[in-house]
Amino acid sequence: MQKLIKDFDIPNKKIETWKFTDLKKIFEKNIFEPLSTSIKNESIKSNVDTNVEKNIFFDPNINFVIFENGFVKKINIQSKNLEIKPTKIASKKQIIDQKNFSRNDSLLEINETFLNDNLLIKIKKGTKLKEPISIFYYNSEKKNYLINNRINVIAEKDTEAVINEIFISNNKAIYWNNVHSYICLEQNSKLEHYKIQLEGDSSIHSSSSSVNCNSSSIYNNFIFSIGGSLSRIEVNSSINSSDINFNIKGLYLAKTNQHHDITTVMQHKHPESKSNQHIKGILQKNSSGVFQGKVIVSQDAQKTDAFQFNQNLLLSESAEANAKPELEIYADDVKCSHGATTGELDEQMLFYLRSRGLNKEEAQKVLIEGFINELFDEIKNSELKKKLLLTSKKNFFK
Amino acid sequence: MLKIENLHVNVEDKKILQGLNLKISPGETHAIMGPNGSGKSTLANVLSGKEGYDVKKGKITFLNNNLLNLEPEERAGEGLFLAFQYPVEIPGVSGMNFLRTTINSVRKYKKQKELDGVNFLKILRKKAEFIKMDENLIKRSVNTGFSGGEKKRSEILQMSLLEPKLAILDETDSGLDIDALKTVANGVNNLKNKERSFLIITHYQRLLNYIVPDKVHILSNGKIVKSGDKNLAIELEKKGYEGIK
Repeated sequence: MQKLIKDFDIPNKKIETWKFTDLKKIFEKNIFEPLSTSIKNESIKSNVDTNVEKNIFFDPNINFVIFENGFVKKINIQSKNLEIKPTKIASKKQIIDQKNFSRNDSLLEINETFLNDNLLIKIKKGTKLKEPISIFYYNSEKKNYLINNRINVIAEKDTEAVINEIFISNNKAIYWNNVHSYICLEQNSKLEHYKIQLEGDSSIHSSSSSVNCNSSSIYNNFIFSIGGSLSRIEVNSSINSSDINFNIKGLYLAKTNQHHDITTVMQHKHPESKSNQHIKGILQKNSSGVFQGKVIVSQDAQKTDAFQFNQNLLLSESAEANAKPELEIYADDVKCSHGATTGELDEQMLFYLRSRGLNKEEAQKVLIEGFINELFDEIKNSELKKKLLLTSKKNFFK
Repeated sequence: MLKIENLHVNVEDKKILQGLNLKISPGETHAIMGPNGSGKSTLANVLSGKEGYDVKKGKITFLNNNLLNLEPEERAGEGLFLAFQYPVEIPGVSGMNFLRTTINSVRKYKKQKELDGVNFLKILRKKAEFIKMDENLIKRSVNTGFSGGEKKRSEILQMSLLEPKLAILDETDSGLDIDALKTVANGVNNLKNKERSFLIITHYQRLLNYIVPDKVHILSNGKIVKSGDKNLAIELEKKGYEGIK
């Protein structure tokens, strides 16, 4: 019998990894129904939506994919030795080995059961892509769709690539985006992965990136999360070899009643690899934020270097930040540290700026920008950096 | 320029300043010296408008304004500048942006036209060169990871950009080697003119060899106990605070 969404247990606070984020509660007010696969054909006929082209992150001269309401609408490939193709709908076959990433909730099962389009991206051996690959997920319907996409990325041996995922919608759209990606980094490959979450205010975002890392690979992840009424972004690593560098920089900006959750699991399984996580959150009004970061260092993973840091800036007394760092270390010769701070804007800094002529509001703005900038500083692409800062200013400071 | 009358200030119910009087006229450089805990930094902080200082009694007049009624940024706008004893590190805020924002905030307050990028850079380069502040340092986050000397230099650079009417230097000499001290003093002396006044707060006489004061005051137990000319500082250096009483 065909399964319905109500047959699934929507993630809620009873599940340990969802202690601070209750997706089920949303369903009390808003039921999201899986988007039927049958509307695919009609939607593919129309032209590329101008809303995507208008987006500041859009560049027609690079590789890009546009999803509209759950289905691939356009694929543009500029680079050689790059393969991007939609794979069969509802294909259960695992393109990338998922055994390293177990889940204790229903999100993936929901994604598989109701899968809309999925995508296979392959960067072929020895290729250093000059042009990035941008994937746009655009939603326009006010129909409480549950949208399930899957992205599979294979970075073959000795490759370099940049992937941007950009989630956008028109203002009125109401949907739940449930998008999961599996990434395989083969030997000596390097991937920069930007997740730019700008969903509409009434939408739900749940996504994950599960990354299999093989020897001497580098994964640099940057999360910029600003949209949605509830957002949960997960990053899971499986460090399957030595000399791997795994970095996550994450920033969420929580407005009014938003809830933002960034949850990571680092699995160090082999010796001599590094992971570095720096997650920042800024919370306004009645918003709430969560960072859960688990670092598991197996017995064999000697000389692991794992660092994790979470900083939250509370701009209102009713905002709430939860941080849950967890270290599970079974090896004895490792360097692991974690830290978390939550607080208001620093009084000393505010006074310093005011004593130099900035009024209170300006001084606050400068400090908030500084808090954001500190993370953006690591982005080498100055054009992208500018756009991200502009987007945060536009959406957050007003 | 500045007139302080019978100033009493408490910090968390502890009496720090107890009837301080001071008058600084335009163009004058005054030095306030005193042992640790005499209230030197409290005076600097009260003047600049920092919170946490409870003014119990007294009056501060700055250029015909009741200073205590002004917000810190208004004091800056009116022409008061405090060079901090411990300049604050502000990660993520580039020095370049910070300096341009401060200079334009003060210009805006004075109803002057804001400086555009080109003109700002011109002025900045000239002033930075004079106090030997590396431009790369300015491009970095404000004071972040600076050495003690670099932080003080950065304060003097801000002062020379804001061109205040009254500059208060709070223990600017602490943590400076002799070369940095000379550069900083040079920066201050270069700003001296008939209109501009300085209040130099220091523990040691050393700085006053390079920035020569018109008047020297000794602060003890929250009060000025002795005033004199530059020779008072030299006497103090010989006899110590105990010897002066």
